[in-house]
Amino acid sequence: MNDIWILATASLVASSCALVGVLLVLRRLSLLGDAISHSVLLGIVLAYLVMGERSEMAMMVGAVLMGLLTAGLTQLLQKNPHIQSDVSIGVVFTSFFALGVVLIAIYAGQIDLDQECVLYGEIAFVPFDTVVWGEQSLGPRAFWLALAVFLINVVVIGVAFERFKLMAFHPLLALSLGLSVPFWHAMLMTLVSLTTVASFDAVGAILVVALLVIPASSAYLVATSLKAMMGWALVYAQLSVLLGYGLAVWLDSAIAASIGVMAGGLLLLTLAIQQLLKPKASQLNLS
Amino acid sequence: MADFEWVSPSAWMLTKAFWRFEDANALWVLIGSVLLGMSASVVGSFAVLKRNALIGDALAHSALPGVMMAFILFETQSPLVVLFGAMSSSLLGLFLMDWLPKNTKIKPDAALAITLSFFFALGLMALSYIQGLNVEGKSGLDKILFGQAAAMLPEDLMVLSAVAMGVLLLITLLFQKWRLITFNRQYARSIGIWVKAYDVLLALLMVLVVVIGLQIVGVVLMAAVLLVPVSAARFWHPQLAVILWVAAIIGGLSGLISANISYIAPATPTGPWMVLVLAGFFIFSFIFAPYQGWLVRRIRQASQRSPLHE
Repeated sequence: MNDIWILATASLVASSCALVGVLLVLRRLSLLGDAISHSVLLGIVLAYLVMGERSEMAMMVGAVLMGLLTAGLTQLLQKNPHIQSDVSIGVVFTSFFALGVVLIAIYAGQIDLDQECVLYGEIAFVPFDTVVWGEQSLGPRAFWLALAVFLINVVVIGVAFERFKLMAFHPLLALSLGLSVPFWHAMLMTLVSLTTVASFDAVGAILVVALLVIPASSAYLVATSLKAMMGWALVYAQLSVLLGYGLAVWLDSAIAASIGVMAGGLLLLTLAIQQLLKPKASQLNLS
Repeated sequence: MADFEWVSPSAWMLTKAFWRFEDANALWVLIGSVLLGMSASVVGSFAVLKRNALIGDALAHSALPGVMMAFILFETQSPLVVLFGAMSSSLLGLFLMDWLPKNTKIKPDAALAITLSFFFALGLMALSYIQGLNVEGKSGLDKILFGQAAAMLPEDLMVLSAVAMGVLLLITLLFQKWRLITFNRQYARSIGIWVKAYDVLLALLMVLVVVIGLQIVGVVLMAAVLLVPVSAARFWHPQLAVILWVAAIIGGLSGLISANISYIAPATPTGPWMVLVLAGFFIFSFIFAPYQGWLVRRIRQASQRSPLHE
């Protein structure tokens, strides 16, 4: 039963990441996604410190605020002619992440977080922290969190699919059609932050990036439309979770890391197949 | 994570003890951190000026699996083995990052994120695998994630200092060439400079610096030490040589301060402290620097407002 809860949670987390990741990769915001997933740590730590206990709501709010702050602050810094976009991203997220880690170290006694779980996540312990309703146990807390965030992602992306599509492929047209580009950009950043919080428990702050970028990139290689790309990204994400879990059981290694490795492995496999099938330049000349 | 007293009189005592150099190991840590800060800032400057600021992040993350593989193969943490493992996997990461956008549809930014997260996942998987093994000498391997300067041995620090000095020396010797290449590649090529070789050499130096920085700053935050000093230094002066000097001073000072903090609070990771110190320097430069700081630009704008508009 525990295995099923772990797999279900991981699969929901990976699906959320895949959906949001597709939008990030298409809009060439992979690095901003990387930055937000790091900064969210600070939001979570501050939420812990302010509330004095673990509270999902506070974590969500803290993480989303920190995610939006990261996106906003990088944009603000880029207005300065002496700061390039990647520099602004690098300065902001490393500082936020460093502050988060230092706070964890200083308040080690008061926060139920440590560097281990920041890195690995605690997906193996997910089944032991359950939600209890009355007498009945309703299953792990992390599972419900992941499910809620997945539903939010599906609903928002479903409702605003055309808008996201337009922004991904033709941002200028979107602007000229009167679409509120800043609003939808902020919406995407909110989704990224929410997804990262839900993933934080399961896979840790850093491996979220693997789940955001790698399945979406694999899908980018094979898909020809946005819908297909999202579909492929979901398939790649599920495969990574299943194979990664198997790998972790086999090697007795961290589950989250193994999932990330499998996601990368699948990308490399896709690349290898594509390179082999690609017609050689010499053959093209002959025909 | 052990607890420690945050505000305590002993912190001041420890600071004084630190600066009296009573502890030989602490002195080595100080020298190592300062040299690392300086060399990383200088090498990082060229990457930032080439608009490739986050490459250091990817290189540092890709070093992790190499360190772990080297441990699995040789079961030792001696500095040269670590250096070798880290360098080989960093170079592999560099290659992947370069190859992906050139041969597939994947864009450079996604290639960087893919390399970074894939190699990091590999490294963490190997680390968790090692922790399940029954071998000696595996403790402390996880310290390279966030850095722990206080836990370093003098022999590690000697290797580190030697490499850092070598890097600084090489940059000083070849500064003219790199300056030319950074600002005008075409011209550099036309007067017969072998641009490609200098690019590769710079990438190699970067990998070296990243690798020696792992034990002090850690994998996760190494990027900051490469890119923040030069970004702050650009507010101080327009000239490259001066920028490099300012960056080196900022990097060295932050190494010095974080070595001090690491001595006072040995249980806390060094890397995050160093990054926070750097962030402080960045904010200060952003506001107060005399060339392009926020204050100066404000004053300049105010004085340039011509009376015609009134």
